Amino acid sequence: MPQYWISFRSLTHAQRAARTLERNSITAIVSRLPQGVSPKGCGYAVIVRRQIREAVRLLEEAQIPRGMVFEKTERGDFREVKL
Amino acid sequence: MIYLDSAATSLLKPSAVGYAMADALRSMASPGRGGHAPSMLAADMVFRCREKAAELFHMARPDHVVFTMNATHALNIAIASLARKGKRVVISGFEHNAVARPLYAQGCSVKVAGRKLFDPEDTARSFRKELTEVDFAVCTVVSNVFGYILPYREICEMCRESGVPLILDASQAAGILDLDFDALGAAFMAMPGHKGLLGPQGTGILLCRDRAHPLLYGGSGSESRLQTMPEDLPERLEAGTQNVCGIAGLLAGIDTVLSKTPDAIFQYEHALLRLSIRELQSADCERFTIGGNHQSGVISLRSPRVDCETLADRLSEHKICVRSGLHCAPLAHESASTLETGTLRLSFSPYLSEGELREACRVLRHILSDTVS
Repeated sequence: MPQYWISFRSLTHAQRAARTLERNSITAIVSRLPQGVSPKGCGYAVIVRRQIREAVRLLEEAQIPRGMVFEKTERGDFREVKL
Repeated sequence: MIYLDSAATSLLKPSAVGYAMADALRSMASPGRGGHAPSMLAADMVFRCREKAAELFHMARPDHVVFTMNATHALNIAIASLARKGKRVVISGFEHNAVARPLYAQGCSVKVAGRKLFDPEDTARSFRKELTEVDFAVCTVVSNVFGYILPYREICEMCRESGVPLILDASQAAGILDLDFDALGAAFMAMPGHKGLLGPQGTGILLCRDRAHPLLYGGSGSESRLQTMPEDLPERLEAGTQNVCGIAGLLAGIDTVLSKTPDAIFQYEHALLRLSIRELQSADCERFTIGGNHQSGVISLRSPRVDCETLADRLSEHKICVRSGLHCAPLAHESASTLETGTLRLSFSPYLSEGELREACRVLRHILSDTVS
């Protein structure tokens, strides 16, 4: 199953996002972003495994600013996903 | 011991506060620093505290709940965000030094409106007159000396209509009055965590409508390559390691306030106020009280025969804890003409019983009648 990482510029934004998604029945886990993924250093992400488009739509509706969305490949790499 | 100094700090707290703090001490690391379980546990708890505070103050945005060291720290951030040298500000006649001192330190031109104690119409009228000529306003919701509940809703409305940013000092009101931050429309609302919110010392909250200027610069746990503080709340105002144990205790305190409800707490403390007025009716002292709903669970008094410091000492000998003097609010004493004498202040909490208050009043009456004989 794919693993999508929605990046945020702050921990609190990531937490708000996770809460919003959980309330809409999308499982969301807050995690630190791996090194090199965040251009500004030390970022946070919310990991979702399904309904990524719906997740992004919900965050936009809740006006929670987000960064890029990545898909974690089977090899462990992160590639940006354009939605 | 009978504790009548909750306006200074709530010594009597729900037991859940201590348990939460001990648990945090053992199991929680620093939020926003590591990705490991103790760090994420801390982060989750801190966020839950933001959510609970947002619920208590009817806010849609928990990220606009900023944790501070105390109300003074919160007020300094708010004032530093609005004040510059020469800026004109109006304040009420009952402000604490935590408001007055930073304003003067910033070089503001300060006007004082509403000096009549327990006269909300005069306070409102006086504010309205000054609002046309100021850049921002600061107003306490409840006077820490007299328990006077200012007409804060009306003042908020006036400031909204005039486009004047307002800082509310809710130090004596948080957890006791039902304050709707979103509806009030103030720019900031500052409060301690350790008074009406029943949390530990070392905690405070600043509610922010929009962005604010940082007072402290340092690590924020994210966007570390940037050499400026983050643009977004709350990280913008929370540099450095947070008081995780304190916030855990504060969360437990806020939970208690939510379950009791501020309205019920106010009704209880107001009943204690009325009891104290009755019990001290025959005491040889001047009581500063209005008796109606314009006063919280705080009452000041003074004796014509013995100074308030001596009275406080005498009460302390009987293990009755009160505060005396100027209460860090010389402006309030100026307004009420008690600057030369100060006052003895009794302040109540939801954990003070009627029996305890009756006993304290009995001892005070005895001490005061002793001074007469």
